[in-house]
Amino acid sequence: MIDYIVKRVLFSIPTVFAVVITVFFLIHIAPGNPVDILVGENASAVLKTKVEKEYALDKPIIVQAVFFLKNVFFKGGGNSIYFGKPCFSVIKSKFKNTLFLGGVAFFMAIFISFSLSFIAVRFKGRFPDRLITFLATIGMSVPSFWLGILLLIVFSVKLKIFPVSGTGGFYHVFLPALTLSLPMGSYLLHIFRNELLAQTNKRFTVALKTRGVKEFLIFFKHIVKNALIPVVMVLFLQLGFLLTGAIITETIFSWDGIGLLLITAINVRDYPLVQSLAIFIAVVYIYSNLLGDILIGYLDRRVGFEKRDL
Amino acid sequence: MKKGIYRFLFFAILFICVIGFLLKPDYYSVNLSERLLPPSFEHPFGTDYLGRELISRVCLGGLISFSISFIAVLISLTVGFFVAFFASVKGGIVDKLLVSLIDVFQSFPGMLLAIVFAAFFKGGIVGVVVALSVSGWVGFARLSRGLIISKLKEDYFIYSIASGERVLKAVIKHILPNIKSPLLVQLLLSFAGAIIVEASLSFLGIGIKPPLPSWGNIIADGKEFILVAPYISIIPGIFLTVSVLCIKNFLKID
Repeated sequence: MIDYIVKRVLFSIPTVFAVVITVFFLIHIAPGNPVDILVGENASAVLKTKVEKEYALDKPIIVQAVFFLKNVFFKGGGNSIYFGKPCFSVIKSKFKNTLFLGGVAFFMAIFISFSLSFIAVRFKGRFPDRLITFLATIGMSVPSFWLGILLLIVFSVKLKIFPVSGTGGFYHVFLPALTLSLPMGSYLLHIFRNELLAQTNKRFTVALKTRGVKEFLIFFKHIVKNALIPVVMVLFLQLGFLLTGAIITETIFSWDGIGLLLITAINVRDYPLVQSLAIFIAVVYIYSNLLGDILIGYLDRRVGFEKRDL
Repeated sequence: MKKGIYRFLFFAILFICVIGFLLKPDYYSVNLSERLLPPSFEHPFGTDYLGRELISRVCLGGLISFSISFIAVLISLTVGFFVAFFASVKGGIVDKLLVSLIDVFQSFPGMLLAIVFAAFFKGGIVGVVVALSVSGWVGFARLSRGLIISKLKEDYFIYSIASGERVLKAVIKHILPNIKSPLLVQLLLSFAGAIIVEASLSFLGIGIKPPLPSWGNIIADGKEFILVAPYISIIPGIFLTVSVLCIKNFLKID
């Protein structure tokens, strides 16, 4: 197992490098002169030469790439044009808000999907089950920015329970977290419901029934436990969804996290910050997937670590 | 559920978009004396904050969303298929390189890639198509590589190569018909995803630029007026959700 983890971590390093290089090439692929992209076409010649020096844009492309790599790995992503601080320190100060939002949404999604799928399985094929599955089908297709606006209209404008926007404690986090968790929750619900039903028809359930074990004990002790494995798998592979979903949700609710920072950086054309954010989000995504893979391997002992491909 | 309800709904939405736009093609002219009017017989979807007819904006926006997403998905399919073709047929080092390229693109969340590319290309129709294709081709490439490799050892393919057909022609003529159904499923899922991403980009202000309407930027406009005119963002949202739902379940007959 240790072997597997070490191997996975080692193999992730070239991926991270490749991600950084891809982001570096972005500014060269985009139409227009890189300097114009960075400071705008109408900037003064003095500013242009200053930026050209600062990002080594007057050098050959290999030198620029090395400079960019050095910037990312040793100088905190270079200075943000808008904030005037190293990009990664700006990102770090906002990331805890995103983490809080994501965490609350994560638990909300688990709570919603678990409780509703228990109800759906209990009333299998009857009205509550059909209603829940129908809502979950819609929930998977609703774009999150529209869902957020609907929740704003219902809860903030009509009912006046929750604040419209801002960053803060439970009252502020509820609506954005709900927006973020509903699509994820519906997806989980589908998987969990189908898995629970599949386990109910297995022979071990019948065997337990014939031995006279109580119905709810069979359900919670044996069926749920077996159904959890694929759900945990999906749950961790969806962590990336929380990150990208946060970009839009934070913009709607003015939640002061890295998603809002990305959109702000795009709007004020702070491209060094956009690049650093892209790198940051991709790296978090890579390592959360890796963590998920390792956790699945730990939970699902049927698959040996040696046989899993990298 | 009735048979084929999703297909029916999808074509219904397409039909409404075409008819609605043909009935009121004027999505552009500002009429400040008729601002923020709620839906009525004269203005079926109401008017927006500049007094523009909402029905023609929503319908044109739908047509724009559909066509842009569809073009982007076709580009992704073509690029993905050819990358997969070279990877699987050449094998060896080419395969390894292309697979690691796919891996790198997959280590960005798709939405992030689209947002960053749209931002660097300054939005607009071209920017959105580039953003959607860049984030979309990976799925097709990975899927079709696996599928093509699984068919390379089939007798019919070996015969056609042995009888002197060119490899690309043989793959398109003999392998493509055999792998078309998983590709079709992926095509529909990507199409639905592309519509959502396009709408999100326009919502964030880096997609389709006003005055050209798109469901995303109409919803963003409506967000400023949810207190007085919630219908502005509700109506295009319903269209968006239903079309995504229908496209995802397009092949589901029961």
